[in-house]
Parts: sequence; structure tokens; C-alpha cells
Amino acid sequence: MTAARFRLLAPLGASLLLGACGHSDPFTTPKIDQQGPFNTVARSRITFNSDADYAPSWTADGRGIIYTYADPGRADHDRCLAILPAAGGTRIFTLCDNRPGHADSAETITSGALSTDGKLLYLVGSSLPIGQLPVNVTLFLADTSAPFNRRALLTLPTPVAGGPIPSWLGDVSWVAADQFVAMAQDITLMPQCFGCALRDTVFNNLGVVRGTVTGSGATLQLLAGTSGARSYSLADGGSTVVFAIGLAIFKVAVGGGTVTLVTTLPAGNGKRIDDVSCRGGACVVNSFEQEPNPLGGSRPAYKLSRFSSAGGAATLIDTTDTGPWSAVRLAPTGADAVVRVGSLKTGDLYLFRNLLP
Amino acid sequence: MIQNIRIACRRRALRTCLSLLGLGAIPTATAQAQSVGGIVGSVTDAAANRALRGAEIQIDGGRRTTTTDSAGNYRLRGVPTGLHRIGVRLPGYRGATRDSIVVRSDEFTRVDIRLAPVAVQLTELRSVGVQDPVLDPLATSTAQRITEADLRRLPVSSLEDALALQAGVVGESYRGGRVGQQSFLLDGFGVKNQLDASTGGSGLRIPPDIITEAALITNGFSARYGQALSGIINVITRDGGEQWQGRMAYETDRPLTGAGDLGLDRLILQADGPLFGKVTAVGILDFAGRLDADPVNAPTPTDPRDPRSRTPAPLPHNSGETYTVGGKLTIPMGGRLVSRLFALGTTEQRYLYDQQYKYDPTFAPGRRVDGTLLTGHLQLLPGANTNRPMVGDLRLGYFSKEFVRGATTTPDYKFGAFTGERLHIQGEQLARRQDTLAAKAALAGFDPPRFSENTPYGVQAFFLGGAPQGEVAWNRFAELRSQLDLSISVGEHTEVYLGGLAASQDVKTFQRVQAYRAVGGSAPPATAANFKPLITGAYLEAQARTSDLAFTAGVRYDGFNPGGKLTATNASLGARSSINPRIAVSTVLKGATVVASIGRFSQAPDLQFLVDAAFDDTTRTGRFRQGNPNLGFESATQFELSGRIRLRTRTSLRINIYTKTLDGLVATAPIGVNPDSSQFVNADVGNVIGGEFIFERERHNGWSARIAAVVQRAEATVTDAFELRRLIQIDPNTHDTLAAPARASFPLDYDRRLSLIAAFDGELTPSAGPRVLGVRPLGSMLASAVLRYGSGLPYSRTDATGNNLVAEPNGSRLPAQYTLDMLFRRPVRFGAMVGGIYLDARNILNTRNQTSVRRDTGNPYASEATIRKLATDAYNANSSPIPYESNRYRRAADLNGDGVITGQAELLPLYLAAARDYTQPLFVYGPPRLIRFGIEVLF
Repeated sequence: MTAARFRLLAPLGASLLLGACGHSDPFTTPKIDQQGPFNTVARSRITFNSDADYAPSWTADGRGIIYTYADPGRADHDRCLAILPAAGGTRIFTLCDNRPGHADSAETITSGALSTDGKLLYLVGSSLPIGQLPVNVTLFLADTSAPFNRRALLTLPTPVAGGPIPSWLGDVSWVAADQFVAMAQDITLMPQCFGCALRDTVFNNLGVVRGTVTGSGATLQLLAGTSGARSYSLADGGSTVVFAIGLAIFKVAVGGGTVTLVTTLPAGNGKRIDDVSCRGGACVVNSFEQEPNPLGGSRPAYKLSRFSSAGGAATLIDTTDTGPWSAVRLAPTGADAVVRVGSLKTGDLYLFRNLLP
Repeated sequence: MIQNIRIACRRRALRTCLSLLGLGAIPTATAQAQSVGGIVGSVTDAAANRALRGAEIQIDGGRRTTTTDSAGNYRLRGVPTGLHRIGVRLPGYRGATRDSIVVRSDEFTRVDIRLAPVAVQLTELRSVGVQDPVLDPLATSTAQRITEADLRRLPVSSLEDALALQAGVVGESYRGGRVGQQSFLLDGFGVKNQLDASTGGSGLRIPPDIITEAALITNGFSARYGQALSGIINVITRDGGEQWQGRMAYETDRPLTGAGDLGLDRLILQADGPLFGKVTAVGILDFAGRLDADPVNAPTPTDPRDPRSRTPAPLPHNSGETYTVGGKLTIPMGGRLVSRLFALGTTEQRYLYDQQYKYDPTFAPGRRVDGTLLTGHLQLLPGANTNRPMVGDLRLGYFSKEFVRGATTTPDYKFGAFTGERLHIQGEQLARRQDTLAAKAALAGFDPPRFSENTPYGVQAFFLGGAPQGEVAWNRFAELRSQLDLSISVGEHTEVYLGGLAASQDVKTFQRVQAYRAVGGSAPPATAANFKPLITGAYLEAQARTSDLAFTAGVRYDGFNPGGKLTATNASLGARSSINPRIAVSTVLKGATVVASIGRFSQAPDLQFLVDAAFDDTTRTGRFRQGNPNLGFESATQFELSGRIRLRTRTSLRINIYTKTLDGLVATAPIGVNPDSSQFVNADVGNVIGGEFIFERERHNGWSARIAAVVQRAEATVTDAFELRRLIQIDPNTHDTLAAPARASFPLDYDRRLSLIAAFDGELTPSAGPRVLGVRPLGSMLASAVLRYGSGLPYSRTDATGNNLVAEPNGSRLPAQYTLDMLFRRPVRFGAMVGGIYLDARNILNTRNQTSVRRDTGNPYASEATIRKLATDAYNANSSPIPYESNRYRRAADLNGDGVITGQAELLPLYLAAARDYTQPLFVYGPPRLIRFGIEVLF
């Protein structure tokens, strides 16, 4: 072969290799357009399912709302833990118990607390059958990237140093790398109502406890002065705990110490405080009372008021008579709060915007 | 250009030049092939027409010599297959020589020589007559041969491709038999996956680059061959040459895009040559990867939500990679002894596409098959001038095939479909330990699959995700085989073949389904088997020739012992045996040779039929199938009448008329009333009758042609078949249930009534075509084409549930199919290197006329009624609303925009779309158009 021919044909062969730049890729699962009915009005509904969503809280970094939901498609009536984006949308994380051996019991995964370094605390209660008190209640610590490589920290009921014996923990929040606070609760069943198929569970708040994660599990200690608290919130950058007893709101350092009165709501007809929630020193309180109805009699009134953890009177910022508000939780950043709106059976989560100045 | 090539050929090894010209497949005289044949003939005085005694016959310049006897006859055995040169000398006569005498494995080539006295003028060429192999009456078997030249000249890339071009072949079925009724001989050593040959193959890939010749023998095969009912595939591999040479090639379809790009990459490196002394070696690496290993050739879906509507090919998690490494040492041990060591290993691993995991392909299963073959071969060649030359072959070999399938990891592709990593299956170690006790519990690491949340439809139906199916299937078949073969010349016209084999086998199996669930309820227990069968065989065959009449008779003994206790419920089983006589008579008539043969053949059943559970149960139903260690031999009796006619100098016609009775075929019979339980039994009878017509035009003036037509009918008679028991008929008057008929006939699975295969190849001269920029692009171009037509294969129709036949088994037929394959190859020089480029196109017309069908509709698509029923059933099972925050919320389906997809009006359309997606055809069309570009360098 002459050099000229080589010069001509060699590139032909080489072009085959040059053409070998890459194969066509297999198809991938298409992106799903999730544009929905979500809006930015003052109160935005962010869950739409027909069953109950409850126990909302914010992830420590404020980028997600962690809550418990009941999936009506699950025959075993399990409750799952999930995280929504901070502004609402599609769940970005779910944790359900899908093990086939657990299909004959109802597992409730709740009280989730996700730290900024990805550690997830959550409580699992198993009841058999549904409607009975849970027979196994365990507090787990997991990494969100491997939810079933988990550590069992506590089995409830468990004694609390200096306090009661809670059978449930609610409103869990991280306060340090190995410390958390939670509302110690006792879980009981409502008396059987006429015509009710199942008896509802009732949570009785016992007080705020501080938990310490150890190598072998976790220990709980009652935060002195919080016995009988109905609700609590971390405040002042996580250094203090603000809690409500009756219509009075107190605060105490996370590490314990002197309990200080922050404010007291004015008395009302059947008035009670359901929630307190703070961001920094700014707090909101969710209260309920029976108001006079212009049409006669009385009507329920749910009120959100703003106050400062430094003290001073609370200022009313919003009220409604159309449905219960509960589980008000201010976002770690911004002025919004997630609020559970609706009945015990069908409550949905909403974003209430601009509650703080 | 001719001049250039001639010069190059003088400078380089002859083999390299022949390869360049597409003739490299023909072994040279110096290449020592391990399979041998013989040369026989007579030497006569050309003037007086009398036999000459004492003439010296030399092969290849004196490598082998013999002398003629008093009748002028000579016989040389143990002549390596390939091309040889024969020379004859006798004082007082002119010497005569003849080149290019072709010796084929296990055949004698007749070369009759007429010597002229010194005083008489005769040309050499007229003085030597070579027996026409077409008319050779000693060739009694119906053998279709594939040479190394065929493998290079035709659009084939594997031995299987080449075999598929032969008459009577449908896939891996030969002459209507089921898959697994064939046996495989590699350099004379029997290799058969006795465990699941009907579904699994041998696990070995024979790289075409080490094949010198392959033959498919479909009838009248010798008593030397066993373990087969329908065909013998005899493959001869090359020995190392006397100087180093080789080939490196890379082929790909990367330059194509879209549906033309199947993600193919293949690298081949072959080399052979001398190591030290007379020891030679052959080495081969053959790596192939394909992203779309099960090619998709189905129509593009019309639903824009289906990702295949945008990119119809390839599918995800559908890749495969095959790694084959082989080597061979040839060690001459003195003048008459040669030993050979051969090793071949293939690993084929597949990521299997599963339609259920279309939107979560990570959880689709994977499969790995490892095949290993190690053989040692000691060959005794006859001495010079022996009166009764004998060739002896002692072979000892180890063969194993391991199969595992189950959940695997996400592929991490490094190059094309190559991951460069061994595919691991979850639970593989447990399966290998056959720990059925531990397997009673849910296996660690297995979670139950859930309905996928990633589908475009969002509904909980059809598509799975979150976790794999929880299957672990593993089996291993290993065999240690010893084999002795002797062929002895007895007298002047008689050859005797005798030998035997013993193969100790080791079978281990394990299968567990729903491994995420503890055994019990819907999770059946793990099944495992561990037993050691023994296969024995012995044969005696004699072949005699008188004038133009040849007679071959042989008898074969086959023994099978399943090896003791297979299950807890079956006592130790005794050995069983079979005696199989075979006879062939052939004669040369006027310009034609006629062969009549009859023979009985038997083979032990696939060992998978002996053990519980099923292998390659691709539906993964977990249905229990009870093995039956009492199964006897499957047998066949074949009769064939064949004629071989030399039409002209270079054309021939072969006509084979045959009938074959298959007996004792394995079928399934129900156990009690449980429709999911069945047991294997020997019950069915099959009958195949057909005719093959093969026209050949030998290569001359640069082109050759071969046309093979087959007319055949293959039917079975079922006596107690599982499926027929499900054929419930209702009396129209009494409404009573009628029993199915006790016996019924229906087509066998591979009953292709008519097939036609036409292959052409041609080569242009170096000066052909126009000159472009100083080069003739078409010069020396080799082109070949294969046109195939096949009538439709049968299939069984079922009702929509798939559980009940609505007609006789195989009562319906697919449409006919045809394809056209082409290969273009052009030699090229790359600097100092010789090489070539080629374009290999399969199904170039992209005919999608092999329409596989759904058994319930008879076409590729599910019926609207079926889709609606699937959707409605799924909706009724999961009619819960889909809220906005759910991953499964799909805005377009939320008709009233209230943030919840609820009710039949909003949910059912999603279920319907999902059902339509799920039932869409994927692999249901025939082979897709495949175009590959190759570049090769010969050295």
C-alpha cells in the first residue's frame, strides 16, 4: 500500500474510534410536574389527604416540615413519618414500616426530630390491633440516609429522673449533638363512646424532659418546674424552654434552673393554651376559649397571639371560629408557622404566614 | 494491487495473507490441528492400468509416509484436518504431487493416483484423482460444516450465529427437537450442561477466532456420539502455529444513534505461536458488552408520559457483558504422541430488565453464568508404514456451569456496558451453602417491594419499586469426564471405532422466593438439591467399503445413574441403561451418492427435571414443581435417506429425507387438584418428518453460494399432559363438564414447516471499482449476504388469566418471518500493519415480521377489555385518594384542582394509562436491525 493510500485509509479507521464517543443512554424516569393548588396566601394548605396529619415540627435547619401522616392506602393502618419542603409540596422523605411481618400490627412513627447533621430521632409505637394502646414504644436514633440502620435508645414506659414514668414522648427537639428535649406524655384510651368503633387515644402531658444520648441508649430527666406543662417550645436560640401551665407562660434554661414567668393570658370562658412556639425571642401562643356568639350563645374561638420571651403582654394576631388550630410551630427562620387545622380525624397542615413582625 | 498483495504474501506468513483475503480460515499444512482424518486411495500404472505395489506416499514433504500394498492401495490415518500436499514416488515412474488436499475431521479423503512410466508423457494433474467429498460414500452422516472462512466471510459473530444458517436449525432446536436435545463436542470432548440444557445452555462461549471448523450433524450420527437426540455440534479449535500471529479487533455501533445504537462494544485479541521447542500456544480474549442486551424492537408507545415515547431504545437495566478467556497448549511428545491442554472460561452477566421495575430499574434482577472448561488430551498417532494404523485419543476434562439470579446492585458502567466488576447477587453466599434452615427466616437485607411512586401515573398498580422481588436462584453443575476413543484400520477397507466415557457429575441447586418474608403462607420453603449422577457410555462401530458401497454399523451403550437419594421421599434409585444401534449404507450411483441410515439415540433427562422447583422460572411465580428421579431416557429413532448429487463441476445438491420418532419426552403432569403443582413424567411422543434441500456452489472466481430449504413437520402426541387436563369442555346440552381427550396431537414448539436460507459471498478484485483519490474503495472488498425466510412457529393460546388454554397446545401460529443480513469487509493497511475494516448489518431491512404475540389476544397488544379489567381491578384494590403532598400526585389528573386526586373520574384514567403502559409489547418483535462497525489488525 502506498503512503497516499495509508494517509487516506488510516483516518477512516481512526474515525471509527473517534466515533466511539458514547452510546445512547437508556431512558430515565421522567421528572413529574408537581405543580398543584398550592398558593402563597396568608394561610396555605400544604397537605390534602383525607386522613389525619399531625405532630408537625420543623427540621433543625428549617428546610423541612417533619410530621406524621396516615396513608389511607395502607391496610395495616400504619402511620408514617414524612418531611415536606419548607414551603410545602411533595414529600421529600417518608419512613414507613413496610416489613411484611409487621402487616398485622399498626405502627405509628412520630415525634420526629431531624438535626442539622442528619440525625433523626423518632418514636415508634406498635399496637395490635389498631385501637389498642401500643404494646411497644421505642425511641430510635437513625441516620436519614439509612433509616433502618437505627439504634433503639429508649423503650417506653421508662422512669424519668425526678419525675413521672412517661409512656410516650412528643414534640422532640434536638438541643445539642447528644441532647434533646421532649414532652413526656402518658397515653391512655378515651372511654368507649356510644357508636364508636374504636376508642381514641389521649395524650396527657406530664412535663418537659431533657434526654441525653449515651453509648447504650438514652437517659431522661425532668426539667424541674415543667410538671403539668401543656406545651413547650425552645426559645432564645435553643438556650431556654418556654412552656405553658394553665394560662401562664414560663421559661427556664434548657440545662435547668430558675423558672421565670414570661406572661399570662387574660382569663376567658373555658380558656386554655394549646401551644406555644418561639423563634429566638419572638413567640406565638395558640389559645382556645368560648366567645359570645352575636347570634346567641357561644362559639369556639381559636386565637393566635404574639409575645416576647423577655416578657410583656401578648398581642392578638389572628383568630378563627371555623376549626381547631393546633400544633402551631414557628419556623426556625422566617416568620411563618406550620399549623394543624381541623379535627382529630382529618386535620391537615397549613402554613400561616407572617405571624412574626 | 494484486502485485502488492502477492509481494506481501511472500514476505509474511501465508496464514496472514489468507486471512487478509478472507481465506485465513483454511488451515495450512503446517498448522497442526488436533482433530484428524485420513487419506486413502490407490496407485495404478496409467499406461497398463494395473495396481502398483511399493509406491511411496508422502504427506507434506515427508512428514508422514506409507507405501502401497499388493493391491496398490494405501491408507494414512491420523492426518490433521486441513490442507495437505501429497506426493508419490516409485522407481521407473514419474513422480506425482497434488496440493490442497482437504482432510476433514473424522473423514477419509480418497486420492487415487495414476503414475506414468518414465517413457510415457502424462501431466501430473491428470494423474492424481481426488475423491469428491460430495460423493464420498464413506461420509454417512449428514454434516453441515462451518469453516473459519465462513465465520469471517458471513455476517455471523458467534458459533451460534453460524449454526443458525444451517438447514434444520431453529434457534437451538435441531430438526424439530426441543432445545437441549443436542450435544456439544469441543475438540472431540463432550460438553453438555446436563442440568438445564433445555433452558440454560452450556455457559461457555466459543470465540470464533479459535475455531477452525465446526460441524452440525443432524442425523445418522455415529455411534461415537451420545447424549443427544437431534444434533451434534462438533467444534475443532486451532493449534498454535509455527510462528506468532494473531488478530486484534474492536467492533461497535457507537457511530449510530438512537434506535440504531444498541450499546455494543466488543474487543477480541487472539494470538498463537510457538512457545519453546515444538510446544505451541493459542490464547484468546473475547470481551463483549451491550447496553441493550435484550434488544427492543417494539413500536414506540403513543402515550407521551411513557419515557419510551421519546427514547424507544435502549431500556434501562438491560445490559449484558460477556468475558471469555481461553488458551491452549500443544505439546508434541515424540513422533506419535501429542498432548494438548485446553482451558476456556466464560462469565456472562446480565442486568435484567423487568417491566414491573420499569420506573425503579435499580431493583430489577441480575443474572450471572460462569462456565469453565479444562481439558487434557493425549493423542496417539499411527506410526509410519504400519499395517493397521491406529489413532487413540484419551481425554480428561472438567466442566462446570454456575448460574445465579436475584437482586443485585446498580450497575456502574465504566465503558459502554462494561462494568469491569463481577456481578454479585444478594443472598448468593447463602444459596451456595444451600442453607435451607437459615432460609426459613426472612433473609437479612431483603425488604418487600412496594408499588412504585415514580411512574408517570402515580397510582399504586403494576409497577414496583423500593426493593427487589426477593428471589435467589442458584445452581451449579460440575462434571469430571474421562473419554477414550480409538480408531483402527482393520484390513484394507475396514475401519473400526471403539471407545467409552465415564462422567462423574455434581449437581447443587438452591432456590428461594420472597426472601423478605419468612417461609410460610404465600412464601414457599427454599428448595435445594445435592446429588452426584454418573454418566457412562461405550460404543463400537465399524465402517467397511467395497468398491462404491460403504457400510457402517455401530452400537452404543448409554448408562445413567442419578446418584442415590435425591429427595427425602424417594429411595435410592438404581442405574438405568440403553442400547442404541445405528446403521448406515451408502453407495455411489451415477454422479450421486445415496445414503440410508437408521439409528436409535437416547439421552438422560435434564437433571432439573429430577429435582424440585424450576429453573429459569422467569415468571417467578414460586409455583412448586416436583422433580421426578424416576424419569427414564428420552429417546429417538431416526431414519434418513439422503442423496448427494454433483450437478456440475462446482455445484452440488444434497437432498435429505428423514423421519424421527421421539419417545419418552418429559412433560408435566398434575399432582392432585392443585393447579400450581405438577410433576415431571416421561409421557409424550413426538414425530418429525421432513426434507432438506441444500444447493451449493463452491467458491470460484471469487464467489460462492449456498441455498438450503427445509420442509418439515414436527408433532407431538400427548398422553397425560398437564395443560390438556385444563382443557375443560362443556356439553352444550347437559352443561356437564367433559373430560379432555386422552390423547391428542399438536405441533412441537419448533415446528417450522418451511424455512429457506440463502447465503452468498463474493470478493472483488483489487482493481475493481473506480479510483478515488488514488484509492479504489471497492478493491478487494468482500461482501456477503444471508437471506432467511421461515414460516411461523406455533404457540399456545390462553384465556386472559394465562392459566387456561383456549385451544390445543401450540394450536396457533406466528406469522412467517424473513431477514436479510449483510457483511462488507475490506482489507486495509495501517502503516506497517495489515488489517481490515468491516460493516456487519443484521436484519438490514428491519423487518418486524416475526410478531410474537400475547397468548390471550394473538397479537402483540393486550385487548382493551383486558386493559380495562386490569385497571379496574387495580383501582378497586387501591382507590384511596392521592393528595398533593404525595409523591404520587399528578397535577394533570386533578381535574378539579382541589389538591386531591380522588374518585373514579380522576383515578381511573391513571390506572388505565398505567395498565396500557404495563402491557405494552417490549421484546415481542424479531431481531432488530443491528449495524456494527469493526476494525481489525492482523499481526
